[in-house]
Amino acid sequence: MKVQNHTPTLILTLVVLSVLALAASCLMGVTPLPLNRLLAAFVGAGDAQAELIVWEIRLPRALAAFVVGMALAGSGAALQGLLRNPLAEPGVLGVSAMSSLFAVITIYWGFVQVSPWVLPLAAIAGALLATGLLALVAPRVQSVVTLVLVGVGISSLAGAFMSLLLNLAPNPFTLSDMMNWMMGSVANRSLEDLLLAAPFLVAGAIAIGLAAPGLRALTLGEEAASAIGLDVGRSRIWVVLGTGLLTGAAVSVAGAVGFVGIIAPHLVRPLVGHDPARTLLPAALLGGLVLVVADLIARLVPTGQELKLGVVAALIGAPIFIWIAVRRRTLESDQ
Amino acid sequence: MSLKLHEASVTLQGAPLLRDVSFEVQSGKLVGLLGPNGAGKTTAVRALLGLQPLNAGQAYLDAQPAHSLSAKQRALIVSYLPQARKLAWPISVREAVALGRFAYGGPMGRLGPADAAAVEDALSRCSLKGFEDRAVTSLSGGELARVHLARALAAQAPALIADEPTAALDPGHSYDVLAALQAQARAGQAVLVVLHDLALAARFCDEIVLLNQGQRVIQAPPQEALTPPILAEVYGVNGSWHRDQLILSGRI
Repeated sequence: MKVQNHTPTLILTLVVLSVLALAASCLMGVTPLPLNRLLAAFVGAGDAQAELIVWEIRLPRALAAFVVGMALAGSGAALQGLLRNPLAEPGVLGVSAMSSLFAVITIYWGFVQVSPWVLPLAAIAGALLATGLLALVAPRVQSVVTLVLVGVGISSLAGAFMSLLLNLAPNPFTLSDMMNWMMGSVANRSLEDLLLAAPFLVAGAIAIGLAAPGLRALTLGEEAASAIGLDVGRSRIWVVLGTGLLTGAAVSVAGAVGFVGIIAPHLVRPLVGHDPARTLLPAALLGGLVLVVADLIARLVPTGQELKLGVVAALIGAPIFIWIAVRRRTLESDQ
Repeated sequence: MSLKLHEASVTLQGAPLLRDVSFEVQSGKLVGLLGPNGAGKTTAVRALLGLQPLNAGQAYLDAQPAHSLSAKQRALIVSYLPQARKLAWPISVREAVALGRFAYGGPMGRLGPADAAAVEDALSRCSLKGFEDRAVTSLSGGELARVHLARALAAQAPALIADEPTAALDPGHSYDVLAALQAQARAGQAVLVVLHDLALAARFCDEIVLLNQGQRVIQAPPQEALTPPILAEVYGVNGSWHRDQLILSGRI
């Protein structure tokens, strides 16, 4: 079995495809507009209605999907590197669920009215709580299966609290607001929403970047990684912090969107020689691309009510998750 | 240059794992760390490296207290191969060997020409030429053992510690590994190797450190360390020397 490494070509291809997908998202939608009006609006020479649709509705939404996909897939790739397990992902490990629970709590008790920062900060706090918990548990449990089960537990717990809040929701508006965060959606996002999340996304990306060489070393396992000169504890902190910030910020924009963090790194890995450090950037780009396309599907499928992005992502992602899990026969005998 | 464990004691949850253990590994020597299962060999290695906190005693790597060194400083003094062999991802042989140069990498893990040369040298010394692009997960046990050994050699540290590098290897591959370690010692490296195979240790090691129930029995050349009475007491086996070969002949 030869190991292939096409990282530069892959990154270039993904950037080109992402730009095309983003452009397509701006040009396609439920309001039928002729191409020439859209293109004019695109370059800033169109009529007011077309400009509004492109710049205020479609582009922010497409960018939100792209950024959220990047953040979640990057987090997934980093968690997989740290835990040495291709099934680790913010959704599966309960990080997204905990993060959206915290976001929903701020909506439920009306904290969101205090400041626009409350919701993103709460979402990040929830994500950090879950990643921190996982990082504490990870060295103690020998089997990755146990760790995934702990994640499932965290996810279920957050889900139960969320159901409780839904159960007790005071009015239908709160209810629909909360549902949005649980199902995951980028509908009606503005550029302001993205700017609010931006500092956390940048900080998270930097933290993951700092952890990258360590993820490569961790291929050998923790003891051997430490033996070749890696400060394992520090790597763990960078990844926990980075994935907490990225997932929290992603949830604050779009709510819980699952599985993109598993699919993207899984598809990318064979093309970058399975190096966990080289997986990060292409996985993030592919995650962004996948969500832009998924959101386009959600918008264009002619259903009575618009599909939620999280639902589309899960419908595509969950079967792939099962496929990866079944194919990984050695899961039980890991480590 | 030497690695030194001085009167080290380790107690874990009330159970003494090491009691007052002292030994030293000097440059140019291949030292075998031997002992029955549960004698404390791995604990002693980890204590020596500063990975296992000591309840009493000291560990020195090149005259520096082991616990005071960062992971990177430690890696530059001693290259350590723990027992775990499994790699999490099917990376290439070359990249797995290059991980041995991790401590020399820049902030983003970039390696220079000197590192590349060290990796090439290690690959050829472990007969891994032609295997460079193979996935580590597709290798046989013997090939994988060579990859790990090459990784340790690529570090070019003044000392090397290997914890059971011959576990699950057939006799031929075990000889190859020990011969490589012996060559490292001859070239001036201080080499400590944990072994289970007494005959193999007797054949290759310059000195034996024998542990039993957390205590050091003796540190001496093989013929003095693995005498029939000591073998009987520590391992419960009959053994005898025929010139420079140790022959084991069953349980007592």
